[in-house]
Amino acid sequence: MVNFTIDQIRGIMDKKANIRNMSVIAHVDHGKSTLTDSLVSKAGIIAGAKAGEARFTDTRKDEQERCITIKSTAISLYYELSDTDMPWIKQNTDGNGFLINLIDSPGHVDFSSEVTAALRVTDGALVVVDCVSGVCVQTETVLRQAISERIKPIVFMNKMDRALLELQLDQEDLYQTFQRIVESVNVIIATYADEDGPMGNIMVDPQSGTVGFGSGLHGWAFSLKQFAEMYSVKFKIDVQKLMKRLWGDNSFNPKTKKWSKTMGGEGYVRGFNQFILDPIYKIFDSVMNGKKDKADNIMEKLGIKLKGDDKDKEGKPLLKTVMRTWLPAGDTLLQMITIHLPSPVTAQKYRCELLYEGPPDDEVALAIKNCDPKGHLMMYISKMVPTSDKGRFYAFGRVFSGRVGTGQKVRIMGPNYVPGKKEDLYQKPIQRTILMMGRYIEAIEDVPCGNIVGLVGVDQYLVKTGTITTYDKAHNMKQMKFSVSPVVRVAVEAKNASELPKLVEGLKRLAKSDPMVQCIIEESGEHIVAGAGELHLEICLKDLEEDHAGIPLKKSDPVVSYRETVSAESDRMCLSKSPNKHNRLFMRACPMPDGLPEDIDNQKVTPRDEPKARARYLAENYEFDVNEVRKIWCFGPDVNGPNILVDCTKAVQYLNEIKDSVVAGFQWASKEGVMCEENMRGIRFNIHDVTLHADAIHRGGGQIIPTARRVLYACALTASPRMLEPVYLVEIQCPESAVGGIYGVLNRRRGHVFEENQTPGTPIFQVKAYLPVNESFGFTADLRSNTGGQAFPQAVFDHWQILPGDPTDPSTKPGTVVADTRKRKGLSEGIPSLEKYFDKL
Amino acid sequence: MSTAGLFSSSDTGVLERKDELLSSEIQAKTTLERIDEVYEIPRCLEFIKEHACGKVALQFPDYMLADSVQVAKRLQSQANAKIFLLADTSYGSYDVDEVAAKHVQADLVVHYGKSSLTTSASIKTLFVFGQREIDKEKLCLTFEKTYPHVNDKILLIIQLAWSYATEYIQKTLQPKYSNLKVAQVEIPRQPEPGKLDLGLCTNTCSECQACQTRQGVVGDSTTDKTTSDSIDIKRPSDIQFYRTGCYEIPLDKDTSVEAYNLFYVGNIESETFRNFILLHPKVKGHVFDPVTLNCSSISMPVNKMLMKRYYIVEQVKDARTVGILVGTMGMAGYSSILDHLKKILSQSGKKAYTFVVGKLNPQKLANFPEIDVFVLVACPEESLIDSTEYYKPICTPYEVELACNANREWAAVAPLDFRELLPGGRHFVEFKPSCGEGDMSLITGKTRAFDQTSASSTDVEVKNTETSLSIFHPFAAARFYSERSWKGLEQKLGETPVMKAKEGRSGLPISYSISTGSASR
Repeated sequence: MVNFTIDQIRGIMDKKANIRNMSVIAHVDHGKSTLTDSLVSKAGIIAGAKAGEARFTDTRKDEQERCITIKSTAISLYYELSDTDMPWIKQNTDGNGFLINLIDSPGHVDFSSEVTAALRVTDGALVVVDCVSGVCVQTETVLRQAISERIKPIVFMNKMDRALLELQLDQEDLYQTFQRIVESVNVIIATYADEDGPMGNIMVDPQSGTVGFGSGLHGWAFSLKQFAEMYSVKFKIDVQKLMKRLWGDNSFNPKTKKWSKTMGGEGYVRGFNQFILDPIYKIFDSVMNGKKDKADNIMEKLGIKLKGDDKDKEGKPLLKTVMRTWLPAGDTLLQMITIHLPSPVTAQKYRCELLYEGPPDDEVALAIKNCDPKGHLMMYISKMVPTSDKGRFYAFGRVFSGRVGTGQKVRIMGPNYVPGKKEDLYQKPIQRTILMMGRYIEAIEDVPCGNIVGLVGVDQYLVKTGTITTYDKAHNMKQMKFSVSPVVRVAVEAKNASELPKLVEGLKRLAKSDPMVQCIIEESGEHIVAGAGELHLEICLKDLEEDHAGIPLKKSDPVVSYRETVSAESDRMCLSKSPNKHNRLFMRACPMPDGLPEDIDNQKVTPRDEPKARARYLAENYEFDVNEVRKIWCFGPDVNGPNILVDCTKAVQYLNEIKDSVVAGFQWASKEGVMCEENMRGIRFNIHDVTLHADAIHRGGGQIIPTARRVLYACALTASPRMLEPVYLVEIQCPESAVGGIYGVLNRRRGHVFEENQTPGTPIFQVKAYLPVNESFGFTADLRSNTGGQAFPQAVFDHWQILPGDPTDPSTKPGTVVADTRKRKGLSEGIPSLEKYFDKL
Repeated sequence: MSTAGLFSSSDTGVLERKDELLSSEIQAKTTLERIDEVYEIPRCLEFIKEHACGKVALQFPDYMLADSVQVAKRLQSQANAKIFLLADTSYGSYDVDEVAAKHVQADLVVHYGKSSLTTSASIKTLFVFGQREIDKEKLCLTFEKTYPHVNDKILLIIQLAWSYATEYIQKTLQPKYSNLKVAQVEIPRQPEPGKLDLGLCTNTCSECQACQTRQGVVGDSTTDKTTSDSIDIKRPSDIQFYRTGCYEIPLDKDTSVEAYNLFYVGNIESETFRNFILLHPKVKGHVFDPVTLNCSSISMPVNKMLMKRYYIVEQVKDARTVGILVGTMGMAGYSSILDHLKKILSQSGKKAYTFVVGKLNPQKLANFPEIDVFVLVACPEESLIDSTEYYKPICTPYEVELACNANREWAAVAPLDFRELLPGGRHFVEFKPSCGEGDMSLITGKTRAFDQTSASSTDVEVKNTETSLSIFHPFAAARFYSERSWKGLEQKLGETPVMKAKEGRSGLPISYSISTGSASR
């Protein structure tokens, strides 16, 4: 641990070229937090009196109990690179001392929103891969997210100890495993990034030192650089050249002492095996099998000197000590981080266009690009961290330009802020700026760009995220996009009705404290907590009950949110008359083509697009009539949802006059669908004709808004309405013997397997399947009991699928879904009849 | 609940309009023999005579309209006064329609049917509830069966239409049940110039003159027929009177309504019952329906209803523009509550508009899409509008107070009588604007902007740079219109092609004929 005063830390913060902001990301249980521990113990910064108290990343009690990371935690490290290593750095530097802001993120898919928030404020990522189970679904997800945020990855192969001790892989098999992992990582990188993209080539390559190997648990790690340095003197070969020979099909003949660029020559052994794996295997073998003399011999050769008590250890403890002394994990990793990950100066140049919504050449955009501490302040708040003061939060984020300080008056802009308007905008002074180091905080006067910081007194003006700036023409920083959606919902109720306000207050706090969770009050008065999965909800509800609200709660069983859609074009022209009978609206509904709702979700098609360009896109990709889709009146619900209202009329008088009223009715109807007041999805409504009263007074909002809603309902009812249910993509890892059990469980739960393959070189199978979210409750437990605890599933929301059957028939599955939902919402029984909405001419 | 045809009310809708959901109350025409009895013709005649009224207006709710002609005929033939039938009510059948009565300069309004018993400020009112049939013996039997223990604490409330039977029931049951409390209908005294307005003070305090006067009123057989003086109840000092709705309940000292088992005689779906339950959500007991003769235990989802109301409170907090709907002109204190609402809304940074639209329906209110939430000032029975057909929610004054008044705490009840919110009322709380700053909404998921100072200051800037003449309130309706796509007729010179005038549509709006035939369908 490094002991610094706050002034010293502040001093390093100014050297922006020597800052590394990085996150540690991986699949669940691949050993991120354990690995991080070895970094903290080596280089963690502890200010003054706090030294001695340890355990940095475990900030929550339940994280320790469950052995799972729930919240991402930031810590700062300090590392001094030796002079000989400095030339390795290919970007500008400013002295030997480096400040590393590291964020340890959760690996469970339910908490991947925390990963998203961590990636936003960092420039590099350490991707940890368990070399036994290889690249898993979450590895791919987080890596993809990192690349799309232009985060440069380096890879660490973890759990080598298991490969050697448990699986007893021989050297060549282990090399092949490593090789495959590197390949699969590079395949993912190649899929989502171009080699000549703005980040340059970000493929990982052991030969260049961007891949590390080792064991976080035992605290040892190496990259080819470590070994190349050991041997370079002996062979009199340049380190960089030697590194190349230590990987790939480079072989060495120990007898002739000659290198070959091919494999298979007689007497030739792969360089990696000969020079790296062989000594490691020898140590493992001698120590674990109690061959003390042999072990001492090797240690002496390698120059490992044990201290006092360590010499008396045996077996695993001795192995740990030996390996740790020989190849300390901290040094290896910190070297990899400082050498290969970009500084803010480097990264912000190419990240700016992805970070900033405004024009790429305005004042703040340039300041971000140049990481200019003298420019205007631009800071992105990526999450809220609870303080000890109940109900208050630190706003946690990264300064991209300028500097942020205590007492500074800033503009606080929420996600709905539009430049020039004043919605979602506050101008307030910052009460305090603080450094966040694990669970400790330390006040600091001000923080320059490139650093990660916490703010006090901003939380009440932001819901979850936002932009802080001093430039009054600044646009927002871009919103984060999450890879998971809150599809599982629980209704909570205060056991005692008089404690309702406490519940509402608690829900607000919960909503702030988690980047993903949604807390909603529905029109029925129900309080809904929506999360990404069962585990996520469990944690949220526990926090809500024990912490945020602090009152006893009644919780419903988890329910799924459904969507209402249609499966065919309306079988007739739907007409509704206004209450005064003088206005008539004629419309039809039809389903959107496959893929369009997703395009709208992913904002490939948005209400803000230029209408002509959007029409062209829709015509090209979805065979829409160009002229019609030029006149998309609006998207809904909430102005950007996956339903559209298209004006297909010809020469209708006063049409533009009622547009606002029809749009209002459309927003209303698409938000509360006709069947059970769930959101509509994937429906295109066409306005075919409209007749209106000649007097404006008789075609006002009062006449048109309710009528538009009625005709839209009639359209939906006549277009073979269907219910959509959310579906998880489940990835299950298990040994071959358990695969049969998986099929059984999935079949019972309406799931189906679409991919099954064996991880090469291991007995582990990967099964990919689709599983309706509604059937997923208790799935993990069920799976474990049916496979003897050998199968581990990961579920992430993938898509919406039609629940087969006619919802208007109460005996079908969707029929019961509709009936249950209506009952829960306190609506009248049964879907309203068409006559209620459909008028005769 | 609105009926199915609300959006498409047919031409005969007004005539067929079902009075809110009380299907069991919709009566067929009363037989001629029973008219005297049901409509208490003799009492009316006596009252008219006693007060020497020259012009009498009769106000019937929709469900009694069938009998109105007969009643009017009988009164006309026997009374020395001119009788008018008020054709329709301005707001609802609970309310005394003072305005319509004044049109004919009536001295007296006879209000028939269910009532909130709120006095009109200037016209004498006689309330006739319409005595509906009840099987008293059966009722008493059921009561005894439901409560076999004679020492149970029981509270008996009888809905107005059957309240004439109170005396009999009390006489029968009181001797057996020592802890039986019977709610008495309390009819407010007729207003007389220069006298204190009783309606305003609802406290059972002893200092205030209004209450002292009222203490005298109750049990006075001339004004209140239902509370009989013949029953030998003393008013010992250990009894406190608890007033709720139009009832006065004698409770033992230091007990609350919650300590009693409720035995309610009447319709479970009636507003009276719903309001009582919303005010006393923890009350348990039974409901006896005199029409079906069923007796069932109370199982109202009160918590659900309260949660729904709380949702509306949150909507009020979100709202920037609030519409105040005037739903009564006759009820004493209505103008004070209007002023009060306007005051607290403006102090909370919201813009308030006042609307007088008469009877509410969705299409009337949807004409004002710029309003975020409406607040209805009406008599307690009509205050709660629980319908999804409305484009924007409608709340009660109490809910506005909850949202805006930092001093007011949620008490898991829903008082509907706005008079209780005014100074002196049971639910009065000193107003303190709640600092909404930094609050977020769970409905929209956004922060709530209540930062008045910065909001209005920037607004002035913006507006002054334009050519507009006035400075708008930041949440004024004008803002809404400035964001609409249609802003009225625009010339759009040069943007639209020049065309020759063509013959357009002709005929009646209900079926235009389009002579050009181009877009006919």
